[in-house]
Amino acid sequence: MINDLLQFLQLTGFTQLTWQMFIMWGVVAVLLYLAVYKGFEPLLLVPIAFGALLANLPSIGLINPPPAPPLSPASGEILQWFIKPGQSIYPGQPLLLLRDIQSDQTITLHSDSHATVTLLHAAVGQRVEKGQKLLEFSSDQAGGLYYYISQGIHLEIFPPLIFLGVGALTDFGPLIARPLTLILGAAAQLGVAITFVGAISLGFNTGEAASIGIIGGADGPTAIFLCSKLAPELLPAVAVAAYSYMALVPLIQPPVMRLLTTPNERRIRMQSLRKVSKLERLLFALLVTIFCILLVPPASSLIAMLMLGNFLRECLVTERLVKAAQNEIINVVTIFLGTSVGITMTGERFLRPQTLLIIALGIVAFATATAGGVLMAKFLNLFLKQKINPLIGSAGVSAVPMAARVSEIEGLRADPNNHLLMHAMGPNVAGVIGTAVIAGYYISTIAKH
Amino acid sequence: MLVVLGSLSLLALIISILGKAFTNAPTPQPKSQKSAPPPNNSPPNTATSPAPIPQEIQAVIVAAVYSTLQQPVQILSVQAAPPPQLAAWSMEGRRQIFLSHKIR
Repeated sequence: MINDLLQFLQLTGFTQLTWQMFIMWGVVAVLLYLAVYKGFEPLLLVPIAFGALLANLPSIGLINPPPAPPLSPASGEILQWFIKPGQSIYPGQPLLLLRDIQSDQTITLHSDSHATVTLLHAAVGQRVEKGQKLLEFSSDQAGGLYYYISQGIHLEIFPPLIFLGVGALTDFGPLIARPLTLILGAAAQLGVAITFVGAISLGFNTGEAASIGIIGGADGPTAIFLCSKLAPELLPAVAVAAYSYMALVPLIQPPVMRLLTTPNERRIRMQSLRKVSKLERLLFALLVTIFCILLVPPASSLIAMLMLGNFLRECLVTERLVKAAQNEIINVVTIFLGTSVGITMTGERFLRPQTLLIIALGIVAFATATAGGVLMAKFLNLFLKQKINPLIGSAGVSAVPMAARVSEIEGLRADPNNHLLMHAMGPNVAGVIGTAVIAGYYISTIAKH
Repeated sequence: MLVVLGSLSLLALIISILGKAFTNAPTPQPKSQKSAPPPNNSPPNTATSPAPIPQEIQAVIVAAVYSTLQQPVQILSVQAAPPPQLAAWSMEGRRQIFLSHKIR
């Protein structure tokens, strides 16, 4: 009776709990608290936190890949096979005995899936190399649900789909009416560049540094897109830092904006924007698509989907498609993207000193990006007859439309009748393009090495 | 960084040129209306306006005012509303942004 009970306990997940899992439950609780009670980017932090909870439970059947024949763990000689073709195997069953020629130790390889052996690739006494396939089997077991859903990140499908929705939601009118704001969006990428250099100096390799730096772009899908390409092992920390800081934009940006501007500069009133015609908006979408894809082909999937969504919006004849992109598509993908990112947050991957460093570098990225936009606006004012309010420069960090709202609020603090929101939307949407361009640049230059 | 700054500056230049082309393009003139001769009972102010209002429009205006007030009226003057200000467009954009989803 007691033995049965003990055997049953062995089969439950309780025996697989680790101390890292308990700590990660605490991290999940903090993320859920921030999202649910403090309203920090809840649309993404809730799925991410829930995914992280699943990642830190012994959830067999949820994230496991489909069964694959075992590979040799070391170069060595096969001493004994415990199985033969036609035999059924089960998880934990010993498959073969191998002698590691380097350490002269014997290794017993066990099965990790239910299957039927069809072929043995090596005979007893034969030498095998590390990573060599040892046998073939057939199995009707599938992978876990999130093994397949996560392919949306691994195959880089989700971020461009999110961009389709973002394009359908974005009004590029303020940017078209005042193209100069594109330069503010570009200047705000200073945070990405400075953090890249900072991360390199702290010992990260170039791919990791670029993935950390892109946090300063304040653009979640682009950060995930770049990180999954250049440093997939950092994805959980980068995604959490990016989305957490995006939620903290109203706290991070104002001190930097006030520090770098005088009260008089904050009171600058800007000329009303001209009205932009439909044809101009359509040409803009086509022009940006062609120009940016020619400039940085690796970012073409992001740019293409962003501008496709925007073209659908502006052509005014595809209302159903625009509604789908603005609501159903982006919402469904957001759920899958968030949980897929969260499910990578296992204790082993997340509880590392690197994570703390990434979070610290993330705030540097945001602050310097804000400073870059503001300083560029001040620089441009040296040459402009009609001055621009430097507060709109900070909106170049993307984070649409939160960063523009921060410019509006700071502007109202200086002058209660000075509305900067529509002026700030120019650099804000320019930041989206700027971040995609710099991501494409990093991919094209770093991925080659 | 310089690559991004340079390329987006170039893009800004292209868009500026495009914008100049649009803003300098001659704005389409409203189709000239065949001005109907002012009716005998038309108010004197209307007759002095630059573009006389066609009779059928006057009839619609009188009907609309009558149906609202439910009493006989005499229209003495009709003035066009001031042209829509750009601020209204800004306000609409502002309203849309504040109502928009927090998706990212």
